[in-house]
Amino acid sequence: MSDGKKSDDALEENLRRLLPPVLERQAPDPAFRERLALALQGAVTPPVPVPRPRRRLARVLPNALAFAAAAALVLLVLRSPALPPLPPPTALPADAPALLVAPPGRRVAVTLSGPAPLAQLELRDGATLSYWPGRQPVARLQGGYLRLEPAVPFRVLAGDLEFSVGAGSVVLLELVRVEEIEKGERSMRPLWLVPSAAAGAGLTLAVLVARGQVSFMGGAHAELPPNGQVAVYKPREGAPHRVDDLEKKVAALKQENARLAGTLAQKKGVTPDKVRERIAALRNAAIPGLMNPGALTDLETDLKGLGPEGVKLMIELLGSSDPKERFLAAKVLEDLNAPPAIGALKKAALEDGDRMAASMASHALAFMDDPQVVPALREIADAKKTWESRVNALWGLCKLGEARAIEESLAVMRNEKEPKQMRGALGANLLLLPDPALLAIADETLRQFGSEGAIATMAVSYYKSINVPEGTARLQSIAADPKQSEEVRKAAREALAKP
Amino acid sequence: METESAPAALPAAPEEPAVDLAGLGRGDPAVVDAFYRALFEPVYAFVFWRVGGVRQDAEDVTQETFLTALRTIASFERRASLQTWVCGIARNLARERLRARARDGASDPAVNRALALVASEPLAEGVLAREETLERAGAALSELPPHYQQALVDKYVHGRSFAEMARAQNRSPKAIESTVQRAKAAFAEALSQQESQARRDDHE
Repeated sequence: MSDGKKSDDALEENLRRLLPPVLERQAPDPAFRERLALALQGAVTPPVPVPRPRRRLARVLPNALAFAAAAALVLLVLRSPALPPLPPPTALPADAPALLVAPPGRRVAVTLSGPAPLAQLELRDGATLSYWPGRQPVARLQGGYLRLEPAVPFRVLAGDLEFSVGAGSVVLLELVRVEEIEKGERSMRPLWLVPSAAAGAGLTLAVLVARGQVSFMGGAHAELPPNGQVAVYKPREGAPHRVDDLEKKVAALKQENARLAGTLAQKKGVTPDKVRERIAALRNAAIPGLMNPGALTDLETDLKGLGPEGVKLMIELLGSSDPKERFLAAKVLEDLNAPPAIGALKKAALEDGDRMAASMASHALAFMDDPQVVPALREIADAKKTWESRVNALWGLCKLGEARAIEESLAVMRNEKEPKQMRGALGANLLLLPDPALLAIADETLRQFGSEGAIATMAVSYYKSINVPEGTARLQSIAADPKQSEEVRKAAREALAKP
Repeated sequence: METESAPAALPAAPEEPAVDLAGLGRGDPAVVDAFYRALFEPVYAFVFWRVGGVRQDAEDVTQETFLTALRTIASFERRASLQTWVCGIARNLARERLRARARDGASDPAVNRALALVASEPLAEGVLAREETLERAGAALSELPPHYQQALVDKYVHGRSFAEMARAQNRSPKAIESTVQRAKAAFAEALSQQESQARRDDHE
């Protein structure tokens, strides 16, 4: 390869990695945009002050939690309600043309209505709605997520596929690229339509018809799934693939898993068949599945049976060339709660080039209930390698009562220059620790992210758990706050009522 | 062959939306709205990275920029594009804001070195994770002409092929490829200029 080509490749790779977070960070608050637009209408005379918009927690928490959260929080994200309620929508009048794009990292809910409602939609990460009075409305996906509940027939263009969605239907679509799945980005979303088994399918569209009628337009694609089942398509190849059709790919992966498992079994020299089965099953699982408590139970049982040898085996696996194996090893070591692994986990947290594996290593240390872990966590927190590892380290240190970590966490929460994802993950996770010393951090978390019902509910649990007069005062305040949802206020009232 | 030096061949890559300046001067609500909608995103992004990525400051400065632009539109002499003129206002206001906050302007030498080589060396994870890296990349992107920004975003964020971009813009794939190449070079150059500036600033 020529030097010029190498340089070009490096620049392209840098652009691919730099631009998405840049766009995500610079996306303006839609509320600010609209308020300023209104203000400018009166601005040619004396300027009208623009009210400061309330901060919003966009689609940051799912990712943040997945990387950095405690297991209970991950469950909160991954627990999959069949269909969660749509968020409060913005109204779009149907008597004027409209073009609405949900930028990467943002979520938009709208109702489109004329004299009568035409549709409710939720768009994320690049999904687009275009509407022209008198024409059939169109939603378009070049990537991202769309939930559509039309009261009139709607057209959907997703990749190269075109659908007609009948009135009264409820349809969810997600279009992702394989690299996004591999990075674990999309898999951390509350609604995860593209299954891990489809990771070999390249550009992948998942369709879930929850209710009603959907048909392909153009006659190219005949088969749609029965209601309530996710179907996966590869738009660029033009042919639909049911999830079941991907079994061949999964079988190929299993062969590879078997090879890996064989290597492992040789390494530890005990119960090879059993471990082969365990690793093969785990190797197929998406990372969110591995985070699920219980997913690794059988493997861990085997390893515990081996005693120190089991820990040693997993420490060796931390040095694997496969980042998924390193992630797995760190996760197992977390569950084994083995202080002899502290050094290896610290090294992985500080030096592993794979972000997920490194984050998992720091996560494992954060969960280790042993004071020996403090110096390692302090080193990771000070290194600031990634915000995920820093959150994990600070959380672990706060859990163990390190005063400096509590001060540092409060400073992070109050520093708007710190990534919002980091602040959200740190604040939300610290709400899990029933420690009155964290009260100021909890207050700050509620102030910044309290508009998210899940966070407000966690804050209620925290204030209740610390069992001090300040906590009771906060609960009274939440119970009387009209800006909080009825659900959150009710939780606060119930917490106050309990002894 | 289509080239960038032939503006007539670039109908779908306009650098400047048409704005009725007389209507803007009169405060015609529809014109003010069109002006605002056309420029809000690029101006906000431009400001955002110049106030250190602090959202509250970005909002304040963006607001002040548009208000100033509307008050002084009569002084716009068309020597540059309207967007360039508005961004000039934004640049001054952002500078004032930063000065008022007495921001520590010292830049990280490691980030400087890495960004100086952005066109030839992959960025290390440690550099990518730095806030300063994002600030500098965002500022560089927002310096570029709108169609260059769009080309980079289409190609490297949305992963679109030259053919897809060409279809969407009614241009030839070759012309799109040329635009992307130029945009890449402009981005690297903008980062490089920042690096030189950062070194000068640090020296001072």
